[in-house]
Amino acid sequence: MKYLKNRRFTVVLFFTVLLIALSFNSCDEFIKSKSQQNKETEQTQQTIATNKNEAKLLLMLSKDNQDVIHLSKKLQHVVTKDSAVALIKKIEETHIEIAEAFNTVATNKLISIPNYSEISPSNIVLDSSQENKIKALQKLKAIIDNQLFLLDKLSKTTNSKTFKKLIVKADSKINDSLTRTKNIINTLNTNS
Amino acid sequence: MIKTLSNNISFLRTMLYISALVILVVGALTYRSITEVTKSSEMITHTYKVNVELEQVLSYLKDAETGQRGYIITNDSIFLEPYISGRSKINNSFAELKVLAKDNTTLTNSLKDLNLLINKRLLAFQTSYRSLPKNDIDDPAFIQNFKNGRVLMDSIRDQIKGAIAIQNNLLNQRNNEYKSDLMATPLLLFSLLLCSLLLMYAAYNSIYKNIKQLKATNEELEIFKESTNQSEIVSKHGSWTWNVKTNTFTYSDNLYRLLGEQPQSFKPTIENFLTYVHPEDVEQLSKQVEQMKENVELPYIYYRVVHKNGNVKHLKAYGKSLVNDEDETVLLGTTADITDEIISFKVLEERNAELERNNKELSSFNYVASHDLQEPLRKIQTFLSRLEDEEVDKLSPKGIRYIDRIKNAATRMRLLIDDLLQFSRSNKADKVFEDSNINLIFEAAKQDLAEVISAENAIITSDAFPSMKVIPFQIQQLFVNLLGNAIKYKAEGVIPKIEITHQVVEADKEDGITKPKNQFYHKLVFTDNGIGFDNTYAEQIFTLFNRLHNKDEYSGTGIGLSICKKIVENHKGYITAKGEPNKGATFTVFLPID
Repeated sequence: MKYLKNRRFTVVLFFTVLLIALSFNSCDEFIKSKSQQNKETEQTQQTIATNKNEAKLLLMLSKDNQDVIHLSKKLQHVVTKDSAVALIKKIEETHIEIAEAFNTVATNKLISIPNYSEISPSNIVLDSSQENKIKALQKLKAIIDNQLFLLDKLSKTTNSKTFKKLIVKADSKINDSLTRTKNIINTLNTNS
Repeated sequence: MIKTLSNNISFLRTMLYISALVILVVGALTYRSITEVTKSSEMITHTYKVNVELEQVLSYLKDAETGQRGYIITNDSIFLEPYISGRSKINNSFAELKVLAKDNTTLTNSLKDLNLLINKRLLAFQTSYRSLPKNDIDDPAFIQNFKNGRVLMDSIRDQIKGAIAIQNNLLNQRNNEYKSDLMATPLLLFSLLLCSLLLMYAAYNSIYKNIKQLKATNEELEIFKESTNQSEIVSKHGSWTWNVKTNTFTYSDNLYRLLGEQPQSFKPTIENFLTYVHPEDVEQLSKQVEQMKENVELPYIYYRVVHKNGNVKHLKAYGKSLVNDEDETVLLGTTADITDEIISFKVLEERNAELERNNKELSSFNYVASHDLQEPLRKIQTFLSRLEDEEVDKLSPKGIRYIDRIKNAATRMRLLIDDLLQFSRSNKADKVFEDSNINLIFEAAKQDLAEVISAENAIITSDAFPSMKVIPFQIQQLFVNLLGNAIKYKAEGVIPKIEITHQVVEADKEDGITKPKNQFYHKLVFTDNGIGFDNTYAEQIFTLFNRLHNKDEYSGTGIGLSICKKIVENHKGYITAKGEPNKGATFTVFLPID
């Protein structure tokens, strides 16, 4: 206590403690700053990777969607049964709606997606034969299945609310399309 | 002025704080500047990244275009690979750009527009190679589609160039900021360095000066210490300190010598010190040492010490307590050897007593002698008178002349004895001062001289006197002597006039008062119109048996004025005389007012 009565000693002690505190604080700030910077870089890389995955999945979904629309259109010309035509028509309309939703999200999220199908005419033979119709429908079902798989993968990849909403909306519609496709296949198989 | 300030501790402390503050501020500015430089550098890197990604997007499109042309020419689908993978690669670039442009709305909007154009261009690619008629590149629809593709490609180029231009402007701006920060940083760093150097120099300068001053002070202290040691030896002094809290002592070298020991020959403790103290003084000294702890100012302590060789020395000690910086009470003391003084004092005392005894014997001898001499003198005078009355007829004229001469001598001897008796009375110790009415004393003196006054028709005037604390019979004698003198030494054929005045005076303003012991005095001035005297004898006339005139001219013994002086001195007063031949004399008496 007697040392504290000495003014000079008190001042020196105060400044020493202040200096030590400032040094510790500064070092802590530097360490924190460095750590924060690393964290931010990591987070940015993570965001970029997520963006890339989202873009890749949306692109694939979109391609599949355009293929579904393309196939639906083609099938409408070869399927003769009215009920099946209506169902195919319905599938086409549903996927056009989904394409619009994809476009809106893609524009906002800066993702380039096609609004045409890449299926080469030589790849699918569509004529009046039942077998080719069934093959085309099986192909349609496979694409829709793939879409559901991609949607599931997208839902696991993304954290974006926009994508989440899109997934919820598209998932039910695509599921409907799958059901419809299955029904059409069943109908055609029954008739044959 | 600067020197005075630099010696001021508060000023130096303030300067230190200000310097520390300046360094902190400059340091903070430097830190900020470096942070700014880092930020600017990051922003430049950011801009470069955006430009690279935009260029990359254009490159992917060009690859797709080239591939498409290759496919059209060769109809080999391998050439379509850049086109097929192009969109994915563009999306990857967009993923990067989206993050880079997240805080830049202009760039984001520009990228959205670019995305639309790219979509259109990719659609045009697809339309081109799908709609190509078999080996017919001259088909107008195909050519038109191809031209549309070119227009779209130009638009994309423009869009990318526009975005790159914006980024380049931003880059220039950031480059300028970076350069400015880069220029400011060394300046700030240099300032910091300069401040530190200045502070270091100031601190060094101050420390150097202090050390120099300290060295000089130390040298002075050494000299002072040696001088103190010498002065302690010469004046037989010793000094000591006593820290009451820690009960530790320090003794100066000479304190050991005062105890008859060699310097620092034993541990300085109170117990060791007490072994040298005279056994009769130990108890008293121990008590006084205990009192020292409690009192700030200590009284003088007297005690004796016994040296190992048996010499006894008288010491006197004095101490004072002080409180040091650590809040501890420290007693500082001085001890002096007063043995010589005590021996001298004892010798002086003995001599004084002897002198007093001699004085008493002398006075008593004087008194007894004067008194005893009167008796045979009286017999001589009686028998002379009888001889004169009864045997005068039988005496020859020569015998009668001898008898006259014996008679005169006897009368004169009687006068002399009376005066001596008077003088011895004035020396007697029974001096009783009492408040007296001086007017009455003066009247009594005049009464004593009534016969002479009447015979000479002397005129005496006087002031009224206040009462004074005096020895009444001596003052009466003083008045009788002075008045008698004035009448005796009257001028021939002149009626003696004597004037006595009184006033109260201040000692410092009177020449006749030397080394006064009182501030105020009664001043009595006796002025006469007698024969006066030469002023050269003004002092001499008060000497015993001193006469200015022949005994045949004026009777007298030369004792009267000596008695006056003795009386005045008994009253601790002063008497002076001033005269002028044939004009008169003035006697001034100063009596103190208590």
